[in-house]
Amino acid sequence: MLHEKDVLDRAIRLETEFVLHDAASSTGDMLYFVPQIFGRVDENPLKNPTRTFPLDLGYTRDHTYILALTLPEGYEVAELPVNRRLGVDGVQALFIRSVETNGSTLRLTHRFQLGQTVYPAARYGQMRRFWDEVAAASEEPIVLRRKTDAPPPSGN
Amino acid sequence: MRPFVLVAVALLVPATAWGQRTNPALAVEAIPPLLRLSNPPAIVRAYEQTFDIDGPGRATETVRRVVTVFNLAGQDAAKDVVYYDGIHRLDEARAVLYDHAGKVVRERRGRDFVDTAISDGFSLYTDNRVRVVDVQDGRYPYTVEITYRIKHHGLIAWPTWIVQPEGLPTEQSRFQVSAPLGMPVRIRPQGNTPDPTVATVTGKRVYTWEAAMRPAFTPEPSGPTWLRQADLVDLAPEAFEIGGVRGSMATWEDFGRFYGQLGTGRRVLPDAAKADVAQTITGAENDREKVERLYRYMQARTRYVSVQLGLGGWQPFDAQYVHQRSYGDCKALVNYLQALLAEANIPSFPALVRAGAAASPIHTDFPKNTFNHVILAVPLARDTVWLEATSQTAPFNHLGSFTKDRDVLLVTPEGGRLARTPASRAADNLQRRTGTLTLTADGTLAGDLALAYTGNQRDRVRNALADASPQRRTEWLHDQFDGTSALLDQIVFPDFTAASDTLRLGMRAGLRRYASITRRRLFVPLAMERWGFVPDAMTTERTQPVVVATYPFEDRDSLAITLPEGYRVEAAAPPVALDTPFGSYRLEATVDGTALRITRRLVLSKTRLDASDFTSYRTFLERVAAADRTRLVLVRE
Repeated sequence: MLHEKDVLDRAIRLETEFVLHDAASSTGDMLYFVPQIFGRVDENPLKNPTRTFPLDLGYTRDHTYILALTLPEGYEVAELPVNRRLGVDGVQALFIRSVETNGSTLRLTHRFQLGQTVYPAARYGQMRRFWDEVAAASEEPIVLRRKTDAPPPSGN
Repeated sequence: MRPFVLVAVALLVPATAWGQRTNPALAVEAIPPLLRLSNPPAIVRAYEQTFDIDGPGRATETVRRVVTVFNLAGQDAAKDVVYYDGIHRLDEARAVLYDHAGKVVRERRGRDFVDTAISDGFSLYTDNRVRVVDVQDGRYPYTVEITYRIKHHGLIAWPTWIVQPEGLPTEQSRFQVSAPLGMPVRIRPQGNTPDPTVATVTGKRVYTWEAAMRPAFTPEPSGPTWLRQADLVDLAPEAFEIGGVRGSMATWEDFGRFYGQLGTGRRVLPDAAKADVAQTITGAENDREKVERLYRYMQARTRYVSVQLGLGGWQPFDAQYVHQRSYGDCKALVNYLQALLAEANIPSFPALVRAGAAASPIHTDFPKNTFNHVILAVPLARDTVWLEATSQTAPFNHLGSFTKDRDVLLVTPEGGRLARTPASRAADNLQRRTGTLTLTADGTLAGDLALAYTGNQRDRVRNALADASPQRRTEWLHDQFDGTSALLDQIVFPDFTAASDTLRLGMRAGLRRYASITRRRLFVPLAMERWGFVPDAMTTERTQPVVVATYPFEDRDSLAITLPEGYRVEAAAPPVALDTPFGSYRLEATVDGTALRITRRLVLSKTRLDASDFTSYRTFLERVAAADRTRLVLVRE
């Protein structure tokens, strides 16, 4: 469902129900699931090692990603991505990730915020490393383990 | 169908019945609802093209196009970019804007249009121009009527009627060709085209094709080019005339003879060049070696400079001129090289080619000039050597994806003869990456990497780097790494002017955050490069063939990685092996203590699959993309 497509001063909203096949990979008792399903920042666009001119991104951006996940029955959390808060000195660039669990549900929040259109060349090296961290964090999975008292899934 | 026929007749009346400022036939209401079902951004109401031939070198071409535009996405359809030059003269152009009811709003003609010289991007000088014939309105829907006329004073290519343009429904389309009774018209219909009606009117044979109510053609992912699929009528003359020279293309033999005759008397070398040839081939053991030496000689002393004017687009500079000035375009350099080889008593033939990695092949059963380049074929005892004369750095006997694996026309003393340039195998176009690297617990992968590129992949890398600044070369190399950023040093670039068919690059690479980390685990990607191209899934039944790759290629990676101490494998990656008739893939990772060995191989062939094979093609690429994302999971003990 697409909302507010033609209302220029409102954000466009998209609602959908979906099934994602092979979203997690499994080996033995383990299940690995990368929670960033949409809008994953898996590539650092700042390829050049150095830069002389300011970095002009064209516009500011603020990505927020919230996932409420119900864990599969019979599994428990083995390891979660750590909470993170990253920034770059003296400029507006922020990455926050937090993960909370509550029994069989898990809530994950990502926020990637670039509050400036133009970043000075002097900050380029730090921006590049920052983006690396964001890209790496987007790829960090949730690790689940089958509970020892749970019966093995049928069919295997 | 009767009402449509009536509409069609109304549209054919030229809207120059200027007394009436409203043409109800052009009203949006008059559009048959059937054509609007797919909700297109624009509809071609009428397309009329005429080609009136007066002689081998004289003809008048007119176009009238009426398009209704419904929204911004359709706006480009209301514009014609007309190419012309000193031979093909644009002598009239007009655009009329109508509102939704068919009422005239505005008219433009002559100097109202943007008219500008254009460059093909590589010629030093041409007399090519374009006029942008358009008129637009911000109030949708609106209708535009475009008319223009071109007078041809020299003709080598007759026009093609494309029944409907790509992506737009067409209400009415018509093509009329008239030729003097003694001048045969050769016709190649393609796709769904009607038969022409033929009449004789005042000493001319008049062919008329008509089509109506054509739905939009929709390209499918990874399908053939539009021109290969379009419904069209292709025309070609038997006799033609350009720049005062007559020729025939009734057969390939004839057309080759025409091209050959333009070079007659233009391969006389000055004495200095003859002396150079004698010296260059001294001591050569056989003809092949002589050819290679003379090719190197030509590469070293000439540059590619293109000038295309009138017959000069066809006739080569003579060999003496090229020798003295050290430059020429493709045909001048081929002619010069041919003269050098002839001086060494080695016969060779220019080969006319339709160049381009994704160029439409020539139609071997329909002699027509669609060539845009020429190379040189040298038949030797064992095989034929093919030479690209415009490159100062191409290896000997090397054709790139620009010219290989296609039909060409050899220009021999006996006339034209079709031949085929060599095809390559995937293994000829190889990318090989090997590395010896160390992974640390913070996810950084560092070590030595060696990259090697052969054949078409060599060309790809060479084209990107050979003329680039040192900084740009380094940037290109950094761009080759997906994911997080790379720090490269001790970079060794090859000599890009070397004749070798393989380019080798070496470097020390540090890839930060190559592996994702959590508190206890390391997730190590198995592929350094993640395959990205997967065509969109079909939502309707696939109807078009599938085109796989513009050249066959093979990518091989072989990495030896030392893993950090204190971890054990929690999730190993089972080997992946995919085999299909059009491509194959292998990915294997083995761990022995802290030694991780990864091998990856992807092979894709250049081929064309039936529509029914689309799903297996897509599935293959999807599996390759998925396998490339596989990660080995290590957990701290």
